[in-house]
Amino acid sequence: MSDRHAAGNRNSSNRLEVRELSVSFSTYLGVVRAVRGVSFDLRQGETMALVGESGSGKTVTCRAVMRLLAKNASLDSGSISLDGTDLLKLNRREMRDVRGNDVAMIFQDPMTSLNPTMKIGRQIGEAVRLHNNVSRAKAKSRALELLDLVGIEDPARRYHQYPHQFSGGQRQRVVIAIALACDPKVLIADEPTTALDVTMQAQILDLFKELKRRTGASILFVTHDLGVVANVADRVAVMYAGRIVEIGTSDEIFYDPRHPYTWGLLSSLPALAQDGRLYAIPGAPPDLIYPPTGDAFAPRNEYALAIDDLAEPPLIRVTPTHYAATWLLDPRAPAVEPPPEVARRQRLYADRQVNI
Amino acid sequence: MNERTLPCERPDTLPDELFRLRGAVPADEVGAVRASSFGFFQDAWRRLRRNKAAVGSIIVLTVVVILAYSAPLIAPYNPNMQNVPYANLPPRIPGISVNGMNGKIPMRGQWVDRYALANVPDDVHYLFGTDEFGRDLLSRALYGTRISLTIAFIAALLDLSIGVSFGLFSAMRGGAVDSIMQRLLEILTGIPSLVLVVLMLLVFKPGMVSIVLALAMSAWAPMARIVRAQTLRLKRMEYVLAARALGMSRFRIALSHVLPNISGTVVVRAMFSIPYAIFFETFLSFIGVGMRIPNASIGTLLNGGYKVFRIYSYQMWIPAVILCVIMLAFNLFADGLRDALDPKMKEQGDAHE
Amino acid sequence: MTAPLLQLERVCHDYDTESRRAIRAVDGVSFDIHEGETFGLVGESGCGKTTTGRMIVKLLPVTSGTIRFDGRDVAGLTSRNDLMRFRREAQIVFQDPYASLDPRKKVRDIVAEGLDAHRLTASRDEREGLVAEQLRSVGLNPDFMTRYPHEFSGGQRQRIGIARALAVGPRFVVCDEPISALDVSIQAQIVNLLKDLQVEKRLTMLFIAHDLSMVRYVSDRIGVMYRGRLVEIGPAEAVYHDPIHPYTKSLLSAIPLPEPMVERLRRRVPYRQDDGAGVCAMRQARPGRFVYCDDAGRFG
Repeated sequence: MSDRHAAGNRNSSNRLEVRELSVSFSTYLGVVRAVRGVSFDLRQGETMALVGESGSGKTVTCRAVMRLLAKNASLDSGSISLDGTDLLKLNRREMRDVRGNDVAMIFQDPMTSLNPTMKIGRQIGEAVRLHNNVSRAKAKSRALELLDLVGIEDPARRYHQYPHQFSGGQRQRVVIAIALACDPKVLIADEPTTALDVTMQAQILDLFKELKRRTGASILFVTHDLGVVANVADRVAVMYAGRIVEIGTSDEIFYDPRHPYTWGLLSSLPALAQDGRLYAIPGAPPDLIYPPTGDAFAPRNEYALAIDDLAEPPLIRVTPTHYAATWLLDPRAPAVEPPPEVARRQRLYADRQVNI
Repeated sequence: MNERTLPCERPDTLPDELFRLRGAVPADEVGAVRASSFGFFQDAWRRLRRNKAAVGSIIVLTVVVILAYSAPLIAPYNPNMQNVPYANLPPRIPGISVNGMNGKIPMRGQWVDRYALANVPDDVHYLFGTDEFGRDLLSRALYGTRISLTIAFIAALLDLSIGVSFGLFSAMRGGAVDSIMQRLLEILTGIPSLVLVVLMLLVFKPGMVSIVLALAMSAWAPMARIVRAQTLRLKRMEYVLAARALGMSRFRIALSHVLPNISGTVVVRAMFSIPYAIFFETFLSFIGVGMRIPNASIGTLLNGGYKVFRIYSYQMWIPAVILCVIMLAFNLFADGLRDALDPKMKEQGDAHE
Repeated sequence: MTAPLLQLERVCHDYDTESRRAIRAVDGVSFDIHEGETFGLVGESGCGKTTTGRMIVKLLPVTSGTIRFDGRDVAGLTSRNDLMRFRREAQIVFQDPYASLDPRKKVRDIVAEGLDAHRLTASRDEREGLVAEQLRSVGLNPDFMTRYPHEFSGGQRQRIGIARALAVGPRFVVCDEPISALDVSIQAQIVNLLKDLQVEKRLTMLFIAHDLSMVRYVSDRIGVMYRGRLVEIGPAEAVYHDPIHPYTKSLLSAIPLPEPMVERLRRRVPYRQDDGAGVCAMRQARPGRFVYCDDAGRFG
């Protein structure tokens, strides 16, 4: 924990800056506005979680950073800069160098990310040699190092095995090793644990924490499960319908959430369910071909204000690190009582702040 | 902190009375349905229409099929009628005076008008020329294409009937039955089709019957294999398990779940088997074990043409071009069909940079 | 207490029984499920929980042991009448909302599949009416019945799968990881729906999942599986709050809690089998609670 704060103070410079990013897809039904003005920073050595349901635009945001969008996508506006270079202005060849060297991505399904006909060691070695001009022997020793780093036991033996000889969790470790082959500055993990069961998920999450400590890479961790990120994330951005609705440090999001959507996500976690019914956010996300004029979450929001139908709330500052896009934070809004579990957490958090 | 760049200016202009609680507007419990209501084949057709090569192929194939099957109506001459005085006349197309298409042909370095030499009246034109027996090549090409196409369609039909039912039955039964059926298939495909045809010549006369029988023996084997593999895959799908759990019989599962879901693959495979069959027939006829000599097919035309290729090259070029066009069109169409029926294969792979 | 609706007695399942290298996926599993009860089965992938569920609804054969449903041996249901009755009484909801619906069929025909297989409807109107009723009961708009599955979201598809299983009016439903593939916020909706339907239709359920926190929430009793064996059975709350078997403890320690302060200090408990354990069997450790261990209480 102290590492984290120290890292934050030593170098507050941003690795990745995403500003007002908008991405849309043209389909034959109309233009889907998948990402609508997303801005965030990813700092050196920090893990930031991007949380949202499917269709919230979190994956599209990541793919935009990698510039791996489908053919029918268009980057309507915004900028993505990595250490000051605007990635959107690079040509294909330059972008290829960035990918793998500076930014690496891990996909959800470890089955399809690996070549089933190639030995694990060679796949990692090739990734090493693709971006670094090193000898085969060097690449091999680096591959063994990486296997060890991602926690594969007995790397020398596993080096010569094929993907099908690995379990799901181990395969995801190999995928991570490939992503780390060139010491990327930024690691983007797109739902890396969703296809795994709880035990594997726990191990992979531990691995991410370990990696952050040992490699100093900045990690953008994408997930739909708010519960998962409490473990790995330093900061959390909650996305809904193509926008960031709340962003803050992990503690702020988990103990002092301000957006009703975050309240809903937290309340629906089964680990928090006491007796009776599990809380479920009613309804389904909006159709992004026709994004609503006001707050996209308003129809599902028990705490919606009349103004939510008319004007989209901006990100309103709670603390210097914590912003939430809800009109409830406006001084003119009535005070509302959040769901009991959230209220309990907020009280707890307030007490702790006072004590410190 | 760097969040200062995030938008956080407060719109003070908004009227106060809007800041009152309104609560959720419970829409339909589970929200609206996205996307269209297009069926699978409507969707495929939409994608196929966007594929220019496939659309072009469809047009070409339609024209070729119509011309070939209306041969008895539009052929200017009897395709088998010999007229030796008019032998080996090059194409003469009215209104075109380009050498090679005006009845002239290069002989010993000079363009010679063969029509004049043979005393052909001025109003007689052979658009594709004539062969060594003076038969009209245009008529022969039309009839020949018809035969080739017929054989091709029969092959596709065999694929669809024998191949599909064999593969489907084998996979749905599974176990020992499946093993025996697969060994049988291996034996059948182990016999080279050329040997098969030659053997058949011992029993039948060369012609349609022996070619079709040779195709019926084993040409559907690849189809049976594909159908079996796909069926085995689908058998593990949860919707098939669900149907079993609901008490649906294997036969009904095969018809209502498996067949519709492999129809795309089946159609595409059948389309690819058409050019194969055309080529097979052409090859057999060319080496002389296919269609009997007076009957025209693309193979016999090529056979006749290649003998005189050094002097009367058009006799070879014309059937060769027809063969190429048909093969290419079928292949492009099948390609387009595959992309249209299986869009995932294409769209997943590429991302633009 | 009346006789249980479902009884498993030392049930085993071997994959690849034809070749010599048979893999024992389920190894001597025994448990009962009483009428109206929800029994949760948890464990990591490959532990045999899905295989167990599929054996119960006769989608996979039982290698040895017996499964009794309503007092009758399921393996012995050979006559068509008996089998069809069993198919109406025991149903299954699958995990993958994308693979479990035939993409070429309209929602109406998917939901009516069981009705058709059992010839439960006399006319087209009746069929349509029953389908509409089923769709409404799972919270879907009946107007959607002419649509295709690809037009629906994951949660909506899972509702369709539930409607299909319930259309034949089963008494017992196996829910095979019905929520694992869904977004967290949708998981809660589906779980609530299943709980409501259970009360409304008086269903007995086997709820299979890998996440103990969700299973605890829906189940009355929980069975924990590890490598084909059942290692612990007990009341849901007891197993969740006070696990006995070390594997259950390890599984619980893997559940992420939405508490960063707790998570930062958390240490996971890895599970290692005790090599010194003797002959193990399910033994009652406390009233109503069974664990897999040897005479001396060592866990194998």
